[in-house]
Amino acid sequence: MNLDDPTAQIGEWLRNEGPDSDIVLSSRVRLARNLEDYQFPSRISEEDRKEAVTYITEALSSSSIKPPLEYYSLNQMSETDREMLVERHLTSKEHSEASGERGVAVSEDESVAVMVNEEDHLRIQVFRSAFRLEEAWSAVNELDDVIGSQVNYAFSPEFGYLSACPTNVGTGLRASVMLHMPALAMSRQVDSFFRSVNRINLAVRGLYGEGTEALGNLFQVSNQVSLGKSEEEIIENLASAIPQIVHYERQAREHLIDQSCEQVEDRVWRAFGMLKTARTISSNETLELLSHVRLGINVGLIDTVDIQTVNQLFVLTLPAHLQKIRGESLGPRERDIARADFIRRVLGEP
Amino acid sequence: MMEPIKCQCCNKKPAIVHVTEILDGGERKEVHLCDDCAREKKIGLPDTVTIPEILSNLVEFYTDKGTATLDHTSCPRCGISYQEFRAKGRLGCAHDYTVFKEALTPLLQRVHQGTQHKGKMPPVTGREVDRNLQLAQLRRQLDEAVEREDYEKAAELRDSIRNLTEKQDNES
Repeated sequence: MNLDDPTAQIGEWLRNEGPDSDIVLSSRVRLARNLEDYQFPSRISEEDRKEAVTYITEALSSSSIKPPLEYYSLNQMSETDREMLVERHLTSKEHSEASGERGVAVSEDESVAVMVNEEDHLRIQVFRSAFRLEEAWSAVNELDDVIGSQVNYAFSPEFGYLSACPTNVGTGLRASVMLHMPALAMSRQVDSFFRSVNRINLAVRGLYGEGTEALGNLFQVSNQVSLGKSEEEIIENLASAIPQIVHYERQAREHLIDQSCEQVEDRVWRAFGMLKTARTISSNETLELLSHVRLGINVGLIDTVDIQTVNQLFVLTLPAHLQKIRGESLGPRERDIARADFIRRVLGEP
Repeated sequence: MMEPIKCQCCNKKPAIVHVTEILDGGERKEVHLCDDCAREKKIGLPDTVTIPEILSNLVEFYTDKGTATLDHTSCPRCGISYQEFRAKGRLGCAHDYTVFKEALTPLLQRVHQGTQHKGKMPPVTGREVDRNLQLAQLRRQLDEAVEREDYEKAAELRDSIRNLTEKQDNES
């Protein structure tokens, strides 16, 4: 990862490679783990917290960890850099804004990110682009075996892996799939979608996790239960729901185009036009317009820009990324101007 | 006119927020709160509720039965009291699962599908784990020795760390 040039590489979850990538942006599996010998991060003393970081980073630098990870200490990072890691989904907002010795270990291709001293001592996460949940699980499982042979995990045969929050205990596993569902939103079916997903014990959230709006019509669907089922069962339960959700969105797209082709085309082209010509644009409007353009590419209306570019713009136009790209700190008004400039440049407009 | 129900929390103001939860088996559990207590507990104000708050409400909700014995209990290892856990919904250390087990079991039953772990187990840990822990402790002692300018001790510790890391390199 290159902190100084965020455009140098695209995160794994934006690569658009794999099954159902027109609708499924990415799959993620994370495991919550704690150390037996230390108090959980919310109660630990600062000295012990540092010692725990040394213990963990020693384990994470072991030669058996593949792919190799580089550790970034969040307490030694600028606010913008930390925010950029949140925008890239490598760490959480809470972790970024907390205090004390903490960090995140990231692989070169950004497919692995291990948060250290977040709510739990370790949050091991693996990302895959598109719908590749099983692959993400098997990678995080292997990584967990290696880390678990290097440090002493807090574990009970009855309750499994012990976590700071009782909602994560057991497997410590949270699997989530990020979906782009513009047709669902256009057909005003979001509420009924939320209800039916909740009914099968899954949770739906917005782009940046808990309590966030579904900006850009991006939704994250994840498991809620982590105890009483095996990891494979949890993954299977989520994985079996995704094809139905994908099918639903595809049908909604077909239906929209059948019934109101002109309106859909109009929306897509207006969005594309705005992005190519705007002189000042907010982050939320950008996400909304990009969502329409992404739909336009997927249904074959637009062929002058590719999905990967659009995926990348979802992240590169966020506040911290924009400021890193410009190499200076910008106020909201300046950011909106810089954002419009950047988008025009990427889309090849004057 | 019927006497208004009093808030179950403060027992003073009339209750205006009423929550009914249907438990497994059809048993109903009702909670009646006044506006102040409801706001304090973040019940009935969906716009402002965050996940940790919902959780801590859940914890309070499902951990009251038969746990009076825990009211004055604290974990001997991390010091967290049962009341503090109920208020925050977060535990302080791994040992809390043993200390507060009686209260946690019904909560876990509610939140998850069962209370028995069915997933993987940590690999059998051995020398490497001990060595890593020892290294972390030595590095901390080294930092502390340098800070109080005890260079003799620092040199000793540096040697121990070197020995330990060299041993690892030879083994791998």
